[in-house]
Amino acid sequence: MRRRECLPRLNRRQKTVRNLLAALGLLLVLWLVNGFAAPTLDLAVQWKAAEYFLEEPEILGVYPREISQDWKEDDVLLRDGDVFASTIRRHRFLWFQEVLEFWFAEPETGPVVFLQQQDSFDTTAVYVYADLEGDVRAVCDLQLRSDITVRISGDGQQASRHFDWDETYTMEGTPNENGLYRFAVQMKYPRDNRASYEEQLRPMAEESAFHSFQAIPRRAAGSDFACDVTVIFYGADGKPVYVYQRTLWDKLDTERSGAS
Amino acid sequence: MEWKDWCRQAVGHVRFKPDRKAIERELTAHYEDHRLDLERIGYEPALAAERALRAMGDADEVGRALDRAHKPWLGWLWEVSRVLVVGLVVLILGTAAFGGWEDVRDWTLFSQRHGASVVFHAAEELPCPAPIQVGAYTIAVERACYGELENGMGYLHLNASCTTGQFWLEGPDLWDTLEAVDSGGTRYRYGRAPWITGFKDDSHILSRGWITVENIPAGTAWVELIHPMGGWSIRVELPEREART
Repeated sequence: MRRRECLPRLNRRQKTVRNLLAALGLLLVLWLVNGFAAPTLDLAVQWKAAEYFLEEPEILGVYPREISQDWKEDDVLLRDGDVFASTIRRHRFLWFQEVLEFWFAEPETGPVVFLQQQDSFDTTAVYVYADLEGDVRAVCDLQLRSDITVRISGDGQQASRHFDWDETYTMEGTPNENGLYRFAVQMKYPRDNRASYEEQLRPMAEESAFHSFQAIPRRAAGSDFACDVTVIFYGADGKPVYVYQRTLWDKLDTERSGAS
Repeated sequence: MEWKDWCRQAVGHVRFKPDRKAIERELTAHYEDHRLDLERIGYEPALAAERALRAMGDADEVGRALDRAHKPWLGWLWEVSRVLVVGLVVLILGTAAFGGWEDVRDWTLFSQRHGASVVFHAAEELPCPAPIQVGAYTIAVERACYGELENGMGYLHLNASCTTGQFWLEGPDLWDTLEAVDSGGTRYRYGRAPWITGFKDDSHILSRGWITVENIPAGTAWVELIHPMGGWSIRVELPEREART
């Protein structure tokens, strides 16, 4: 009561001004507790791009990550002139959203750019940007080769096996309005944790190969791994209009030992 | 005319309906005070009520005056401002409940790093190049050291600070997009030898970080840090260093 008497008595106009100023301050606090995240994806991309000194980032495509229902993330593919990058959009509380660090594609001399998902534990897709005439679909062959020994142990069991891994993943895609293709990666040996250790070895070798694949943009794919990509673009008449080939990583020892 | 009719007629002029009840209460309190005062000095209740009502004046005139005092736009703006304040407090608490506050604790507006206190053995302090203004940032080299690695090659270590007025931005990338070239034409890149490595913290207004260029051959006159995408560069002149025999 005493405190109330000490406060100046405000009329409605003054109270309104006070409330609006308080709302402005609270809005700032709300923004702050949300890490100064942006209210829209465009703005989030623009702000992140400023950290790389990019001035006019253009969003080529946004695709949901098929990781889990609880984890709302999207792959965002970008370009700024000749610079191409991938990132992840994360939805935060309310309408706030943020984009993570950019992963830049290796510079290309031709009309096609290969883009990997920004750091991902599970690879779900690869992306290709193509500036071609008349292409309506494309087929991507992703070849992963690896020299790996997988070991599992626990519960008194253990299993071990060496693999000369060599698998090619063939994926088909159509371009979006910005010339971006998304090729969905389908694992050939999905892991079943209830299976025997012996049966889990091959799926683990496949996961390991994809982890190496995901480490390529960080230049950390290791010395026992190689990856080649071939994308054939087809026109409406079904004939190839362009073939893109690239070795993304090749550090595989030529003399490999053991057999799968 | 009864008091209730007078009151309803006067209050009916007030366009901002949420205020009508409060006005009615205030008018009634005023009227009742006057009526009771009259009764206290000996007026009959009926006469006191009549006099008190008459003293209230013309209902329409009072109503119009009240309407002028209780402007609808101001009333609604006031209501909106109240809802806004309460809503924002709820949203802030909601953010905290959903773990947003945890994220906030991980970053700061001003860097807490004090790299200048780090001592490099066998390193020579170099004059710092002038700060540059690029994009939203001012990048300043706060300390430059040039030393020798165990393999006899040189290394350059820079402590840099980045400031921006755009407080919602984190510090600029000093990591995988930075390159360097030396006077001998050697190119240093992230993730492949010869190396350039960097780090920056996640502070907003003032962030700090470091950049190290390794395996610089003896006799190199300068090293230029280049940000190919940003189009900026910083050149550091190196002192003469004898090749180890």
